[in-house]
Amino acid sequence: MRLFLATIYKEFLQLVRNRTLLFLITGAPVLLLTIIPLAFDGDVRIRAGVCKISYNETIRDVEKRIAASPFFEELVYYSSIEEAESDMKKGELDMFLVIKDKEANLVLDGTFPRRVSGSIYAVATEVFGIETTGVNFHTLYNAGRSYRNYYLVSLVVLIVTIISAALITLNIVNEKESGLEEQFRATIINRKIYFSGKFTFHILLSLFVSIYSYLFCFIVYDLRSEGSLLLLLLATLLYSLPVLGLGAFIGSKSQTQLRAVYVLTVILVLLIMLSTMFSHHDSMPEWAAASRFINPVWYGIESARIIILKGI
Amino acid sequence: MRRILYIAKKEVLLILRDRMSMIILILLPLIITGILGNVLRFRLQEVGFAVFDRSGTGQMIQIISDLDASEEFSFAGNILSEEETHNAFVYKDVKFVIYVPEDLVRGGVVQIFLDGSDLIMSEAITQNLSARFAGGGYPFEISLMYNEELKSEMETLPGLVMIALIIVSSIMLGLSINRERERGTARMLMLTPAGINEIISGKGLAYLAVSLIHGISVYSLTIIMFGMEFGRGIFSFLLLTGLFSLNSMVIGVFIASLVKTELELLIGCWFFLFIPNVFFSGFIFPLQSMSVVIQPLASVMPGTLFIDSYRAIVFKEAPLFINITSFTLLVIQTITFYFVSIILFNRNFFRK
Repeated sequence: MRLFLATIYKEFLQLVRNRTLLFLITGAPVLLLTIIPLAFDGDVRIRAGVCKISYNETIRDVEKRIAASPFFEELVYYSSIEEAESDMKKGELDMFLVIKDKEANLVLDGTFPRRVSGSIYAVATEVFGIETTGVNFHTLYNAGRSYRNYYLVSLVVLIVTIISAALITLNIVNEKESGLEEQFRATIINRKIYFSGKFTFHILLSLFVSIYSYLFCFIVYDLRSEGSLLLLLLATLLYSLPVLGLGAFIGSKSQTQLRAVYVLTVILVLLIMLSTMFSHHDSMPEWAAASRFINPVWYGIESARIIILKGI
Repeated sequence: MRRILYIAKKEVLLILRDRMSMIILILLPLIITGILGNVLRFRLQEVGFAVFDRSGTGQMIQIISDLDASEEFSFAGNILSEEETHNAFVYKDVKFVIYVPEDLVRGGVVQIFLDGSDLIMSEAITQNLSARFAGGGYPFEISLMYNEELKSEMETLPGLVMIALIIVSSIMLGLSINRERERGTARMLMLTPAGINEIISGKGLAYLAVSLIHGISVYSLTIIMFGMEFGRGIFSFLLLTGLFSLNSMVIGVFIASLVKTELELLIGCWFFLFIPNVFFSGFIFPLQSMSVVIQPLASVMPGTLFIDSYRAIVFKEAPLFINITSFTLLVIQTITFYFVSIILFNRNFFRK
């Protein structure tokens, strides 16, 4: 037991004595959690233009409605279709209306399929006043449809994943590469104790990082968990295990840090992108959607969302 | 100049002799874009929904079977009580519940309940359903430019290529520099006539060749897998990927000059290149929706510049001069970061 504690203490000293690393795992999450939420602050506004071929009464109405609507940025006028098209080519315009006699033609930039349906919907309801009759929408859990809470949870999971996986992987390979591990073999610490001490320390570390990040979110953004905090702690603890296990596996299989970094990078990018962090699994092909069952990041994100946002 | 070439040759040999790492390094962007390009689509596909019908008139049956027949949605079952609504969200794969009130015939309103903890999905469902219930055709014609079939991979492909290139490029050069510093071989380089400037540009030259291979392989992938036409903007595309990789490499070198070990570099690149570029580049959130404070910064992020130019070059067949601002900004950033890191390295390169 004393040996076990001693190995944990050794890891702790190794970390504390490295100032840069200490900054990266305490300062960087705060920095990221301060800056990144600025990305999802406002509403989506459509950059719209109008091109009038011939003048009529409709046009004045269109102008007024677009100016009054919160969905659009300021309207841009074009005297010819070519001009509008060239602006769209530069990526400065999402859609433009061509008004000719009594016909209206809506031209959209198809390279953003997600924005297309939104623009059509906005034009139909805001400009032409088509009502969606007889249907009301309600959002359960996260009722304000707050992007901030939604992505803050993802961001915390992302930060914890990167720190835990990178730290344990490179820690193991580094000791192997620099010959430190060989020297440990000459001491009374056997491999089991050595490794379990390392693992325990990293579990504590990733717990620390997540508690620290959630606390920061609570203080600055008032992110409150709907579910019990104890459950959240347990979920975070459980989540750190497969991530650390994966990191330790890559670390023990790699000969050099170089190789470990490359392998870790490709695996982390795939796991993160295949989880529901930036997408949802109903839109993936079946084999990819099924991969979530062996993807620890998926479990990490879903459990955090369910506990914090849904409150179960 | 000759010294730079010698350093480059040394670096190339170093890459070639570690076969395993070389293969992984060259295949990395291909794997990332290849797998994720097929996976990340923001399209609804057989999304489960449940119905809580209290009217008992069967008026909704037609609408429900229409929804079930569509590609986007599939009917998951009926709900009989209030509590079951909650249970459906929690225990079943149901993403929205349609509630039909008792007084539907007398002007009652159909309610749709969505799951806000799955926000991306709920936004997509809301848009799709409101378009369906909008009733009647639109009083205007709709024409789509550049992507008539509305292929959803067009949305994500530029972002994915950006992610694959930025993470690989930034890590590879910085790693090779910090590796020398960590293992002490940097001190051996000190004995050679080459200065810091020559060491870094020599190394950079070797890795620029690697990123050219990345560019060509990713371009071929978009042709084979995603059906882009061959030859469309190939010159501009290679120029763009080369410039963008160089930019990421130099930012990687800058991060390397601030830290000492390979581990710190890895975490630094993930935190200060990968995460900001994913969130600020318009890959997930459009630039216009960001806070005003961050918009100027977001619009000069290398990721944003790359995605915008990629769209213009590959999808819109725009001539090169349209992207001149993006290219200039990338070049300016590259030069600035290069000189800043040279200054920093002059102070601490040989220190272990």
